[in-house]
Amino acid sequence: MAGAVSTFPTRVRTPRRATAESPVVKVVLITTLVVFFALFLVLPLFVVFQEAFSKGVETFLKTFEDRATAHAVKLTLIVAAISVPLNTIFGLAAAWAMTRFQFRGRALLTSLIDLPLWVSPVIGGLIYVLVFGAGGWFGPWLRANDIQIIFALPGLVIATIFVTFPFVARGLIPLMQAQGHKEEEAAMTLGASGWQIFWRVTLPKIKWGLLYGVILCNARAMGEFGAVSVVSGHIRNKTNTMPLHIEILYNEYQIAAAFAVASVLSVLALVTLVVKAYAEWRAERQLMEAMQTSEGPNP
Amino acid sequence: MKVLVLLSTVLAMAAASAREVTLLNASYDPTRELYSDLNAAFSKYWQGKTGDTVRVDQSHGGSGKQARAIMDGLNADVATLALAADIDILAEKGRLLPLDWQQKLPHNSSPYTSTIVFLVRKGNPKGIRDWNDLTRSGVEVITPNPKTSGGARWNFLAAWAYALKQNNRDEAKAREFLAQLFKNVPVLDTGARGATISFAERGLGDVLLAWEDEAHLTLKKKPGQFEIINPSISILAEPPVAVIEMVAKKRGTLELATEYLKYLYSDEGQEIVAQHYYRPSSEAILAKYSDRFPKIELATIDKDFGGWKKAQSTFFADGGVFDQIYQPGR
Amino acid sequence: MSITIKDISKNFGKFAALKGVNCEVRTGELVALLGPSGSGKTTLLRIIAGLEFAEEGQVFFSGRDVTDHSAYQRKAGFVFQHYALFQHMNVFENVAFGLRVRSARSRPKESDIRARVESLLETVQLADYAKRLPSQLSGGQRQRVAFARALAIEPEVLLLDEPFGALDAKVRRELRTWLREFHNTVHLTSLFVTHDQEEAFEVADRVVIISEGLIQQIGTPSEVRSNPANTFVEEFLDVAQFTA
Repeated sequence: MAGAVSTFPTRVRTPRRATAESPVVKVVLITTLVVFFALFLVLPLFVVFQEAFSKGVETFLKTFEDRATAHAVKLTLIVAAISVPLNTIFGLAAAWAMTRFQFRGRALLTSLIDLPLWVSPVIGGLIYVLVFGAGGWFGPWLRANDIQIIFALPGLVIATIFVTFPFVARGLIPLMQAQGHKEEEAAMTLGASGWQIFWRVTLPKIKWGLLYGVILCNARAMGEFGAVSVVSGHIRNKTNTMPLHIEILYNEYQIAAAFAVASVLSVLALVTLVVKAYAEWRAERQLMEAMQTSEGPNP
Repeated sequence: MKVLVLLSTVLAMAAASAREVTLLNASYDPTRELYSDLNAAFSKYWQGKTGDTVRVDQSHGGSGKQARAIMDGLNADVATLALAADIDILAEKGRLLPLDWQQKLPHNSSPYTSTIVFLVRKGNPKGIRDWNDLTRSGVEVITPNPKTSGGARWNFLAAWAYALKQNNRDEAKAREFLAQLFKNVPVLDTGARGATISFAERGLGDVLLAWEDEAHLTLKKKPGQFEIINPSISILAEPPVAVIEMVAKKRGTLELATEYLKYLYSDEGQEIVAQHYYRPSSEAILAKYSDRFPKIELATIDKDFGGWKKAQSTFFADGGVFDQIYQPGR
Repeated sequence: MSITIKDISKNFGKFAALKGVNCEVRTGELVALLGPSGSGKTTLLRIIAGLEFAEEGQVFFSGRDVTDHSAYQRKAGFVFQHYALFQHMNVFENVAFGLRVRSARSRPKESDIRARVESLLETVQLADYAKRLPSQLSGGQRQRVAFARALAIEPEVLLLDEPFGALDAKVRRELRTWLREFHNTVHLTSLFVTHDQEEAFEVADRVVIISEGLIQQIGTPSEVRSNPANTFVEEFLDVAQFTA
């Protein structure tokens, strides 16, 4: 559901020149956009909910009593609960390192953060099969030590972390770059320790950007299909997350159930959208303030 | 901190569930419903016999894909796949079970067989009776991709067997026939179930080449919409089963896994097999359900195609017959 | 408290920002660090505060070697050119910050913090603005908050980096006068960086002229004016005079 994301709070709105296009062009463009939205976004979403409740609320609710479905929901929550906090910490650390320090290979590292957005999620899954799978680099050692990574929870978590890694860092880097670190320096001269600076100065400064990243990260973590599909092994009641389970239900002619689970993911997406829009708006404001009131990053 | 607590909870959960005796059956696509019933029956049987509770977990996917996953470390105690060739790989390349695995159980380790039939829309509007109808212009044929799907390979070989018979074993004419047939295929799904969904749910095509069991399952799930047409000749498909010994030994389930597969051959198991429209290997049960399984002339992989290895390299390897006759988008 | 700088050298990559600088700010003195942009004056100030570390040389506070002390150990009051106020805290909390981050042992009671912040806001004439956010203040008001915040931790030295640089001419002049008067009453050892010689000569007790990482001359405004040490100082003052 949450696909690759193209808008990050770097985008600063510039007012369009009033004379740029003729009114006709404007109307045509806007109409096209609205029709496109209705056809490709709103309609499918509507269909999801319609199908989900096609056999009544009772059937809808019953879907989640099914052991395999309940397990898929639980597993999805567990995977997100592990990978999102870890990626929040990784993302913060990465953004911190990228914006606070100058070091060799920094530009390369900045590009590498985006890697998961460039490569197909399937490849994201496959690389871990190649590394941790039975025939992979660590395969024999893992097997000898009875550690199962691929086709088990650790594999799902690792694949999810890979896919969702960029979101927090990418949300924060432009913001932290624009804000510079004068406030942190000021806090330092006032006797604040590193932790105090982080909690009292940095975190409040970046909280909306951070929230924005965490929400996107979470939505993608719960919705990821490709990478997770490769490392899952599709064992019912064990390694099927919600998106994988939706496919299974659909393939087993349990259409209403498939859409019931899909509707839960969709609701999550909608909630994400609303919170994201708000966080984005706040983050943009934080960024604007940073650009107005500070001289920006230290040269 | 929170993360640590969560992690340890998860690990504890994993450890707790590991004490339960479980088997993992990695199977191909259309057997989901079959094994769902067989597993429940086996658990009951095993509890009655030994008092132990056993749970059989299921994993389904394209037959070739499942073999790949087992190679990559999917801890399947047993594999129940669409083709012997897929288990051969596990024995030869993965060394996960002995090379003579197919001799371990009766009937070449195939507790059930199946064949390929046609599924058409109610009333058979295009008047499809046999393979030659599939090459008529204006008929759309749905079949999955033989490169990825076991069922699709059976489909292809069944058509080939018909073409050879009709043309006095003239291979050139058989090729022409298959080329004509695949011109009528608008899209190749990757697995048998995907093709069924394309045909039954999305309404694509006029005829689906399907496993007999899959065709009957579709009739059951979508009553009154389809009917089955039995062609004059088809192929005997033998989906084999095997214990993945390396995995089972490590997990200490070797005996249980073997018992599980033997159960598939038991009368109880064979009944369930027949109820799901797989042709039981037991003569007695087959006779009991004979009305379900019409007599069709069946070519066999060993007699007519010289075994899977030969068939695979002749027809489905890169540059093989399939690649020569199939040009997408024509 | 006095500040002593001994043989300080600092490079940014291949660029030598400071090349063996020596100077002293005596206790209770108000000294201006004057030079064109790129002369190394801000770098020197940041090294004194502990925000930057020199490759060579030492920094002494009243004879005590603080070269390896971090900024938060030195606790020199620092006023930034662009204020660097905490955007998400109101004026009161900005000023109280340095007191609140102290360890529980040395942190004043809440009532003491309140009293101290209020008296500081009184000093900078912002008593009515305690609840405002920095974004709701003018540039001059923001800089006064920054002053109050730096003074709250009772520093023994005050370092100011182009404190009036971002303000318009009128406010700049007012604040300049205010700083001089404030210094006359408190006599806090202060060093401020500027590129504006009028500002330096009007406010400072002594002026340190720096160019290309080297100190060109140290002296009282009248000494420097009447007796430039070299052609650079002569030309720099001349040009400045001309453009002022």
